[in-house]
Amino acid sequence: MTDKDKSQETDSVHKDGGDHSESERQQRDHEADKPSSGPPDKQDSQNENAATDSENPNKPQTPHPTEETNPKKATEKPVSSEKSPPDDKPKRKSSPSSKSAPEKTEEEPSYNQPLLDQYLSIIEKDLGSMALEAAYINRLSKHVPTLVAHDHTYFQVAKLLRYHPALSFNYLSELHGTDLKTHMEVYLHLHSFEHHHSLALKVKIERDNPELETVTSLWEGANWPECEAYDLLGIHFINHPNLKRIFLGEEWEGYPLRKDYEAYDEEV
Amino acid sequence: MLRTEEMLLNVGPQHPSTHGVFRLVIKIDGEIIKEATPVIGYLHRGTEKLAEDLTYTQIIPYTDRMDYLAAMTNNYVLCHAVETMMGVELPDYAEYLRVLAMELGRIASHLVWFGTYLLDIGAVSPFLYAFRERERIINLLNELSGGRLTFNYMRVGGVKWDAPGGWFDRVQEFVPYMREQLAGYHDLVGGNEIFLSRVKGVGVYSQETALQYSLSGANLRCTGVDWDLRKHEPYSLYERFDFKVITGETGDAWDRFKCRMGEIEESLKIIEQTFDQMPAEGKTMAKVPRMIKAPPGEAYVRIESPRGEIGCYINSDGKKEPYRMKFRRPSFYNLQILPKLLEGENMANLITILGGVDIVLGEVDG
Amino acid sequence: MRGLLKGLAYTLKNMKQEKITYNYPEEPVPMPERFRGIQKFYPEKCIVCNQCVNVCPTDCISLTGKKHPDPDQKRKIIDTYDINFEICILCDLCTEVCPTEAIVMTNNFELASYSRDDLFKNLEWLDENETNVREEN
Repeated sequence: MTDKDKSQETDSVHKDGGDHSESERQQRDHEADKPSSGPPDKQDSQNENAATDSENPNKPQTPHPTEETNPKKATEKPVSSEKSPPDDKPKRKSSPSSKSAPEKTEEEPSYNQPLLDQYLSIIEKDLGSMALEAAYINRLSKHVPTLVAHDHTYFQVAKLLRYHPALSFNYLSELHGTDLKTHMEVYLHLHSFEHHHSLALKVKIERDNPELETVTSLWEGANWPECEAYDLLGIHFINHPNLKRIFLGEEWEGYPLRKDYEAYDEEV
Repeated sequence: MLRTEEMLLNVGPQHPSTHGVFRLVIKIDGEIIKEATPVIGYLHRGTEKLAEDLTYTQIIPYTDRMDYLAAMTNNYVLCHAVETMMGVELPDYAEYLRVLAMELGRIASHLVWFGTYLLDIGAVSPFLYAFRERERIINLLNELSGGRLTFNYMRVGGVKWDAPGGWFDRVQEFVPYMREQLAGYHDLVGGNEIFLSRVKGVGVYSQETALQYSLSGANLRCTGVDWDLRKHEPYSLYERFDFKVITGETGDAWDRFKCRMGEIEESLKIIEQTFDQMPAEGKTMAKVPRMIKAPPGEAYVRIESPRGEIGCYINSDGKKEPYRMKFRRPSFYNLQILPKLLEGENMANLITILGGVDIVLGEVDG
Repeated sequence: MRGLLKGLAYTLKNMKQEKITYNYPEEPVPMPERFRGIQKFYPEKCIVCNQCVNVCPTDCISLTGKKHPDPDQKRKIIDTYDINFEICILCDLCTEVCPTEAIVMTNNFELASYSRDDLFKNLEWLDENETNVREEN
């Protein structure tokens, strides 16, 4: 850290941290630790943006089916047009001001692009062109091919990925859920020990009554992670052999990892 | 034929062999386990929820507390995830320091496992020897980072400290010393008939089962799966090192023992090679902005921790805090197979099997 | 049987080795230079910039500033400075961000006490905690 930085930093803090009494300050500090700290006005405007964007949740469902028929096109396009605010990264990523090199996103296709095309053609052959909501290369995550399934096709897609000889993703590396305010999302990271490929499978589910078919029949290892997602996010996995609140216990109220969760006792 | 009655037995949550707070409810019929139900969550601290309110730098000390026996790898997985998203290239020197620290941590972690595993089975002296060696590593890492277990050593873009004066020499001295002790360990227990009869053929599972249950690390390699993320999905500088992936054949507790002991030896090799390759000096930090912000998007990275595949998922909305953070904690996944392994086993094998899985409860509960 | 004897030989060999344990409470354990122990605070160096409060992952630091007694001086000086060692995890981040090194680490680590109230350390206590102060921060 250079001296300049330091002095700037201290100056700015001086101005806003000045004459508060101790209690006020502590309160402020508490606030500063909440998800979106930083200058209050900026933060507000960001939230507003998020709110306005999220007001039309129908947006994601409209455009894609046509795009799916052409896998190559689908890989580039849907991500930029059809995501809701918290995860519309590819869109922002490709804007020149952001950090990840823009020329990469624009020009050369990712080294994993052929793989993704192969997966897409297999899935299309077996499950039709409507099975996936989107498919793209996630450049931020070491170029992992990412498939987004519909909630009603999720199990079919997973099953195909698990058993199709050219795919055979026989290892579940990770399963977890995310609360994206407008909807929930379940993320699976799969690995094939036969072909040494990795793949991310995502599925969006509604937030009010999140339900999803379990994949424990495909990967036993999904058992506890699904319990974890149920415990912390309230995602109900249908046909799960033993869905329980694995960490917090059955009597716990609320689902802590939901963004609107309120702790029972603030002090703890 | 004696008529026996089923009995419910609680093992834990405070039980010396669980090395933490882990409860196992088992139904036994005489000496035979009919059903085992693991109960976890006693050490759940909500790291992922806490992380949503913290900046990336502030999360690093929290990762120390997940797998507290190998905190360096936890530090690394978080920094690696953020660096992957930001596209930060680390200076070689910093990466070598990280590799050194991680491999030392791996040895320390396996030593704890070795000592406590044998202690559980009934051998007391290996525990003392293993902790003697571990103490040396802990001291080395203490000199490097200022903490004995909770290192908080890595930062996004590099490491906090350069090595102190004379530290490299002390590490170099440690390698042959550890080799000698390792040979001693094999003398001490490797040929011990009592130990062998306790572990051979116990807790066997097949390759398919291991993959099906998402096992990783030595628990997966003991079945013969040649899989080590350092080798097969190289991160950091592991491509530059020549080391073997130790695999077993039968997938029993004895193979898991051999895998972990072999990994200590491989880690020593990596440490030696680090000294051959490492530049004499260099920068410890890459150029990163003062306020670390991951670009909007999501990323999942995974690396090889002593216990298996540790992963970190970040969903960022471009702020200085992650929107959602998730750690794939290997012990949590590895423990899932326990009820299956215990079913129909003799009561005396419970400890052998549980110990063989090598769990750290801080990691199981997150 | 052979394996057992081999193991015994290793044990016997180790009996001759030097003792490596510490006689801890009687003799203090030396900690390396970088060890992160209880903080030392220099009130005169502090510029009330609040960075340590903001960076603290556990929210254990609280401070207040007051106006400089000399009316010509614009800057503030520290009034109270408290660290709650019930929740402090000695992570070193506060000393890392401090621009004037007003808060630094020491090598002292013994915090055990019979009352939780003793774990709440104020400015005076932290100022007096001046043994084994870490040089590099």
